Amino acid sequence: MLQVDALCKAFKEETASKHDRVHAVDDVTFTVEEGQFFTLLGPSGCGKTTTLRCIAGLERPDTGEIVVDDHVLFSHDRRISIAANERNLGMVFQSYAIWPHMNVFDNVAFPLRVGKRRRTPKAEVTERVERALNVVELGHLAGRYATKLSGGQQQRLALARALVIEPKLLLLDEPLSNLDAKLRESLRFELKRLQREQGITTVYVTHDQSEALSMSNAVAVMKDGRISQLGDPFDIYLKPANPFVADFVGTTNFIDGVVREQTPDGWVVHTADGPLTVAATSGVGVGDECVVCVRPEHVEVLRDDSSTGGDNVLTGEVQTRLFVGEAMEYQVRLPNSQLQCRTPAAARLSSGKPVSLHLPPAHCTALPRPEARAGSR
Amino acid sequence: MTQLADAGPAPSPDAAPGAERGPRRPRAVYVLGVVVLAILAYLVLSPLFYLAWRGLTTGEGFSLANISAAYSVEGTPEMLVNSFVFAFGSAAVSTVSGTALAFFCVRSNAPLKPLLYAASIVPLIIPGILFTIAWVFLLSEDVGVINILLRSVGLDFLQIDAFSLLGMALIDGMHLSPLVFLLMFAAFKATDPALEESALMSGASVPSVIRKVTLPLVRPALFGAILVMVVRGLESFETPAVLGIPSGNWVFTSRIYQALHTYPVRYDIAAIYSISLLLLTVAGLLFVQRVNRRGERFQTISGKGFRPRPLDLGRWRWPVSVLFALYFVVVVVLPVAILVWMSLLPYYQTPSIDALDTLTLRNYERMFDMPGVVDAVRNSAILAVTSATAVMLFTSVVAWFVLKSRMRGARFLETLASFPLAMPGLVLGVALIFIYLRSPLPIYGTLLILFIAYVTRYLPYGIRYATSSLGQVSAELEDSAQMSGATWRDTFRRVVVPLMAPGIVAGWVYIVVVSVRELSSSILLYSQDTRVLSVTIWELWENGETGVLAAVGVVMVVALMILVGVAYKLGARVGVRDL
Repeated sequence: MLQVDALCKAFKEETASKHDRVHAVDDVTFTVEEGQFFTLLGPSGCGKTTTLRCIAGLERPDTGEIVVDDHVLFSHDRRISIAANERNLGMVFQSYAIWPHMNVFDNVAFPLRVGKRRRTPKAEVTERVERALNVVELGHLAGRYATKLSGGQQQRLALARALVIEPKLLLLDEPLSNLDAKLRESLRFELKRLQREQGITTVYVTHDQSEALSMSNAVAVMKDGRISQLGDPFDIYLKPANPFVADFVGTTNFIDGVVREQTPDGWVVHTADGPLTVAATSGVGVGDECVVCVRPEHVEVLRDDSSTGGDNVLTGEVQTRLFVGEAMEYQVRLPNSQLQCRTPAAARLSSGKPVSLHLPPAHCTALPRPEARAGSR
Repeated sequence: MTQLADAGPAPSPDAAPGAERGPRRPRAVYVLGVVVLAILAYLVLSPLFYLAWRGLTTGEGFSLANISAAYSVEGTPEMLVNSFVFAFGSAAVSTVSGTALAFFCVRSNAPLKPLLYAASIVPLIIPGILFTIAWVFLLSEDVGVINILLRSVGLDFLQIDAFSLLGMALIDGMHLSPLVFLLMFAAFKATDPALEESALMSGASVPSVIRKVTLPLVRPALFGAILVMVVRGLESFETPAVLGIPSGNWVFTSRIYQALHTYPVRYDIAAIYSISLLLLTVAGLLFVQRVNRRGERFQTISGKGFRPRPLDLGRWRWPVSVLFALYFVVVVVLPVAILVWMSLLPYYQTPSIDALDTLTLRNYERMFDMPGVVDAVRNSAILAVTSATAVMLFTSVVAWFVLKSRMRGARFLETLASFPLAMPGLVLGVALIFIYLRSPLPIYGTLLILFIAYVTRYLPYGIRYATSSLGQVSAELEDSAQMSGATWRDTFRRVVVPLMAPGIVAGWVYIVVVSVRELSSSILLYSQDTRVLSVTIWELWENGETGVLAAVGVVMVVALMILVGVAYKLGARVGVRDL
């Protein structure tokens, strides 16, 4: 459905010397299947929005190719570049970009009254606008001025405007980031439902990992203009390919170590706080320096009176605890490092208390050590 | 005019969207950009070129002879001293009064605030020539109403003669104080009250908070305002012409005027003085820009999250208010009242009970019989409307190029369009004479030359209104129009222009108002058939027709006030839907 191939886009650095260019998008390739909900996830400045704007036609890529439905929208080699207003794609912007001088109906009707579609018959405009507004449940507000709508209504209005042209592809640029937390969660379901009902292929840009994981069929985690990992949400969360993904998606503990040997159960990694068995590795072999990643919620906290030692058990003492409502978060001080753990709220351990931590091998992954990482979390 | 119409916001419809993207896109928008640049360069740079050329050449070619000729005219040293004394004096008056008004208007709980606001803005509406003439009847040595009053209560030593440097500076300063008010109003509004509150919490008293926190915070703005006012004082023409010429207090502007109204006409002197004046004003404004840039470190001052909290003046509330009510009476009520009084008398008499018997509306009738008055109204209206429309249309397009086109060098367009701010009206008039006097095009002596002058002079205001309103239109609003399939023209016409509308309307009204007041360029460029209102008032003054003059003035002030009022209402209505 959508193929993006070897996309590159560099910007001139405004502050530095004239010839410096920032590679906002650096050789990005991915494919989105018909009807899929595809998410570009990453921190700000990772190139996700630029990628989306290249697909939209609002930025002109330096090289690469963009194809939607066998229709080439951009190809550097073939010197093709379709203008944004002729691409027939729907887009929802971060600020929604609702035109404040038009009412709800006119905002949605705008795409049917300009450019190539300017000759759409009046009756058809009315019918299509009403249909689009009904889909997002704004039909009763058609005559209202757009700026009089609440944040959530504006977001749905922007969606209706994008859908009214029945685009082949829907592009969403952080559409939920301007809303407050409660509304954001309810609209997440809403958006997902609409997307599934309309069966529309969607490319979604966000920096919010829980949005990405909860809504997508596929996620591309981006960093510094490149795709760091591409996979379904479960892979991204449970089998991060590198420390960046492990750290960016959810919270992760990193323990520095060296891979010593391979055993039937997995690999043994020597760390400053003792040997650890990990079930999976990615990109490291015996003898390599690595980091062991383990999610806070996977660390089992044992009261220290039971056992000492044992496989994958580390001992330390509780340094701080944070009660966050549905859970209890502990910072545990080990002799040479610090681990974050998350337990049900019922288990209360006061600070200073000695504890043992069990790190189940199945939830531990050894990943290559990044060149310059500022300490473990 | 035709040139400007061609450059309107209508590139060929197949212009590919969004400026620089797509290989086949650029042509139409690019061509439009070049046209815009050419028009701007012609309007702004050709006067400079002709001034320099006329000033630095004699019949035999390049020479500095004009300079020595101009500066060896008798009385030159006095003229230079006078120019600066007048400019600094006027700046002192306007800065002190404007800053105080702004401070109490924004930051105090003084009652009568609406009055303060009116006192600060109304002088902006009264044309300078009328304001000055009104003050002749209030402050001249013999007939000045204020001086007569002072003499009658034995306060002779407080008398100020309008026809002296001090009087000139005082009158000009009062007329210009609204500018300072507006500059300082913004500065005070932008100061975070938390900074003052924390000083109060540290135990400082209110006066010492003002002295040690409030004023230092606005110091860059204040310094910038003083400089701007000195520059304005140097450029000022009305006061030096009405008061300075009869009393022999010459300054640059009146000398330039005189050089062009003696026989034989001294174009060389006019050129040299114009260049000198221009260099001074440009240097001054460049300095202002530097001050402002350095002042950015004071910007605590970002415009979000706080409302100015009024200081409690305590028992000083009423004394302060009375003081400002008095100011209102002096600056607004008295000049307007004396104009009305003058307009109702067959010949001028000092206000008294006896004179009431002679009141008549004859002057308002004579306005229509007087040759030229009706024509002047028509000319002024035509010029004001056409130049305001042309400036706003043109600068909207320029603003789009500056902010949105991402073309190389687009910022230069803004610099170019802002430059006339540093060009005194009289200097522009001199330059336009040089350009069109011998030009084969029949422009000299027509309304067209006045149109060119007005458009050039008011480009800076236009570009400021246009860029600030376009700046508020976020890029995504345009992007989303493109994604909806709109072409560049669709986007500009249906999204950009409607969203800029409040700013364009406000700018339009402002330019109409200042065009109607314009004297210093018009006075050099008008001809028998192209008198404008301000020139007519000037001529009536020279002919001693004070009654008709006052009648015309009253009508003019009322009309301008109605216009500003309507625009204010309209602006408020268009502007309510926040962008």
